[in-house]
Amino acid sequence: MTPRPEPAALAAWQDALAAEQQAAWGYPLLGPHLPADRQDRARACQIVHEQARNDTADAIAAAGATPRAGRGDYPSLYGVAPLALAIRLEDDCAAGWRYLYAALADASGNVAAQRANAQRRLIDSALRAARWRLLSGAPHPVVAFPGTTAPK
Amino acid sequence: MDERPFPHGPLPQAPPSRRGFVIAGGLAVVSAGAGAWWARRDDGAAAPQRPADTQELAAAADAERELIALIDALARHAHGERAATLSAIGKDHAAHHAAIRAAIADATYPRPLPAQRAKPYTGPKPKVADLLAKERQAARDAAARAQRLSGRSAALLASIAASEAVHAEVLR
Repeated sequence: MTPRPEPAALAAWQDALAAEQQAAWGYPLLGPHLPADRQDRARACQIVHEQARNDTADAIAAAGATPRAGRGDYPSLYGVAPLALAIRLEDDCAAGWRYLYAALADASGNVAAQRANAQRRLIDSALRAARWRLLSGAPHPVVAFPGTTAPK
Repeated sequence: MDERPFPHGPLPQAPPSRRGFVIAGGLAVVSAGAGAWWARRDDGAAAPQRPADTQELAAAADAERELIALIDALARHAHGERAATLSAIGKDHAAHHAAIRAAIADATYPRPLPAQRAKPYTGPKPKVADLLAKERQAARDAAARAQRLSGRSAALLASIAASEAVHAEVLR
């Protein structure tokens, strides 16, 4: 059983879950507005985030806490241009995982596996955000501090 | 109760005992030792060893300087889009280096480590593939260092690891 995290780390874990729930909900919204080749990419990202959402909820439950339920709707995602929305979904996930990493770095006990998981997911979201930025024609698709900074 | 008028001289004292001499002597030795320790700290000749966190951060700063030097060497032969990409990646590394130096300054306050500049790259003419390999290694190293650190420094290196992984992706 995963050790139950301290309250601050648990709150950050729930926030990371919320970011994954938003991404899993948001990708189907943007997919139909993309050309066919990018729809495949959006679909692949959607599958990744659905899996991350489910895995994160399972891990929170395994740690003895109740995973927060996803929201029924995300009105703030409507009306955003498709590529900008994809970048935003990934940036929000990167921020969620980085925030969890920071909370775990302050926590006591053996949280090395949870930190490694947060690190891997932070990197994966930063990579997907960069790929979407490349497609959007951004001159430099990298941010210096993924999970902390607004897109360039 | 002492009823002598003010001012008056000291009250008669008992002569110091042998035990008193021993205790006073011991205190004097301890005080002298502590003073010598602080004196050594003040002149820097025997400063305490840097904490492990500071060493991890110093190694991370060294890695950033190496990457900056390699990018500078590559940029001398690059043009157009490649030059722009290298310039942008170089700026990211400069930002990483500045943030790590700030974290070191926090950790070592009030005795900052001396500032260090990137040494020029002196190897054979570099290729973009060299930088790609270095970025991948830097991402792995930063993630490993982050795991060994705690607090804000850990989160900083976790974020830098993600940035360097993306650099490698952009250079592919």
